[in-house]
Amino acid sequence: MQHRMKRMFGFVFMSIFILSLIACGNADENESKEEALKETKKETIEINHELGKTVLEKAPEKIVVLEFSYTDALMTLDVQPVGVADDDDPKLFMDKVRDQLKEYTSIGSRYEPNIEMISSLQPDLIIADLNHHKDIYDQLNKIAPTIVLDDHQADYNQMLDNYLVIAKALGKEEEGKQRLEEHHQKIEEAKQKIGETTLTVLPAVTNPKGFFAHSDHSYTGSFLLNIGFDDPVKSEDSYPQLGLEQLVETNPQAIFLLPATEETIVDEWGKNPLWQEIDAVQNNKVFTVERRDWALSRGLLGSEKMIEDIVKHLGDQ
Amino acid sequence: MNKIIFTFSCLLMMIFSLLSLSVGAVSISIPDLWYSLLQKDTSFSFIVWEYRLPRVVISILSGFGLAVSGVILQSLVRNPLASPDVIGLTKGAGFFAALVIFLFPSSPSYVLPAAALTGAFLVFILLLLLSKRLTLSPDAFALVGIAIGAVFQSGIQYLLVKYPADINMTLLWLSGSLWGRGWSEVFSLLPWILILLPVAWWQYPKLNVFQLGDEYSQTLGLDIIRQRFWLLLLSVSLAGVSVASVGSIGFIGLIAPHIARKLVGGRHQLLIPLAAIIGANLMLIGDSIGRIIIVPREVPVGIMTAIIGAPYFVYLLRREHKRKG
Repeated sequence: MQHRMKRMFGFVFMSIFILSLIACGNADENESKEEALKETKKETIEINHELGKTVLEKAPEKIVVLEFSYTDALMTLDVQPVGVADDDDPKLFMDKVRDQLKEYTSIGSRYEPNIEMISSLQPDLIIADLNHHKDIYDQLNKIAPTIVLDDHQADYNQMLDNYLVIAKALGKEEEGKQRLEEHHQKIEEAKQKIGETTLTVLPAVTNPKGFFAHSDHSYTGSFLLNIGFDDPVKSEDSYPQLGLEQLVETNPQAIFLLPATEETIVDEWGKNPLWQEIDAVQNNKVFTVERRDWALSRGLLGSEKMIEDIVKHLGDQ
Repeated sequence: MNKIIFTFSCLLMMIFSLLSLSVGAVSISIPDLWYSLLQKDTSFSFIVWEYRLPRVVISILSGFGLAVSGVILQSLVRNPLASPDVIGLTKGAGFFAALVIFLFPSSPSYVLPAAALTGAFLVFILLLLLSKRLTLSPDAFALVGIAIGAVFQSGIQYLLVKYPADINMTLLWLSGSLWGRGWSEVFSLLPWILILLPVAWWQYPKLNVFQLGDEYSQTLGLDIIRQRFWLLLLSVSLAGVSVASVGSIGFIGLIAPHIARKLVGGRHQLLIPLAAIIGANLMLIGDSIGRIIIVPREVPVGIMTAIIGAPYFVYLLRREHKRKG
């Protein structure tokens, strides 16, 4: 029996040993790749991103994007993508993007984009998200140079940084800077129109199951904070779910509802006397806006539409 | 007869592998496939070599692992319903994977499988502690496993409720997916299966005896407590490494041993290899179908194997019922 025990321990150690060898082997490979990249010549586009450095020989022409915000960025720079991970539902694009977007191939879900289809499009640049696509970075890189940005968790300011990275990758750095300047101007002008920003404003995605507030850690919340509004939730989470009683407790002075479905939990809450207790309801400041504009198209066009909506609803009358 | 069954299932594995290489969002004809396999620079080379081939290998390896883990558990617990899923292994792995996805979303990509493996072994340790070091009867042991699984399951549910805005990634992992699995996953799974599978096969005399019941086993000179420990560890390792690389697919571990048992009976020298091949076949065909029915999206392989396997399972239960009743 003792002999057998020894054998068992033996194989456990062996397997751990083999695994660690493999892990080391992989690490070496990555390093040598990076070194190889450094040696390339000038006149190339060099992009630092979340998972390293990517060098492009020339401005890419066939681009695959794996997030809505990247499509937003491409539209502002007048570049057409060949493939977009649009969750197989073109209705999720904001109107302005959809109008400008010409023919593209849907490569499926943003969470599991179809890698075979990406490969068959033969792109020369892929723009991916850190959270969703870090596991397939190696595979994507074998198809085409891939840059990985942290979009999913980005707030408004990080989005602006990401925008410049994308512009640079497309070989349109100057145009990107110009467009960004224009964006800041638009925001400033809109801010003038809004005037006082003393209200606490709560954006929230709603569906039949719940009311999901977007706190100042979220993209939409951080944008409102940037304009000068106050976040009433003060949560650690980006998207805390609130019950009606919590919402009354939070007591926002204005609410922007971003319904994900036609019927939502708010239809139910409207009948509850508690609903009337909320300042926003009493002041008639509950507005419904498009989720695709406010929460999906996290880019310059999306945020410009957002502030347009805010001017419309909360601007100086 | 057994020879025919083995030849046929191996043949099926080859056919399914070829099928898996040729179908998908981009379909590749057999001549093109052959050409791409031989030469590395055709237009399909990436899809065949970098995308589908590692998937095929992982399907086979994880199918082996899950099925053999199920065989061992079913004989150990002497309960046809036992599987890595039922005694909580996949739930433990799932809970840890979900923790990583929700709490450390930006962690490097090797953290998730490592966490899942840790979860599976934590369940193993809990099983040992709560079953009084395996001295409980097999039925009680199975119930302890179910209880542990329930606790981890509620943990997963809690996370899903707590972070409702970001559950897609977790749901995909929990249902078991081969999407995006590449050679690095193959090389972290291969050594384990290569070592554990022969070790499992060598245990066949003990497993044959175990099936007879504790008293017989003891009379035949088996130190049942100690053997239970090693066999359980073996089963947990096989399921753990498989689940770490493909997500918590529970159904293969339940269904593949049953199909094999129907075909070659309960002798483990035949049962173990046949169950392994059937497990691989289920994974291969599940993945192939899952890739083509809602292009450009994919149906996770865990869901497809359940859709294919469940009708058979019901049939099996009905037959069992008829025989007894």
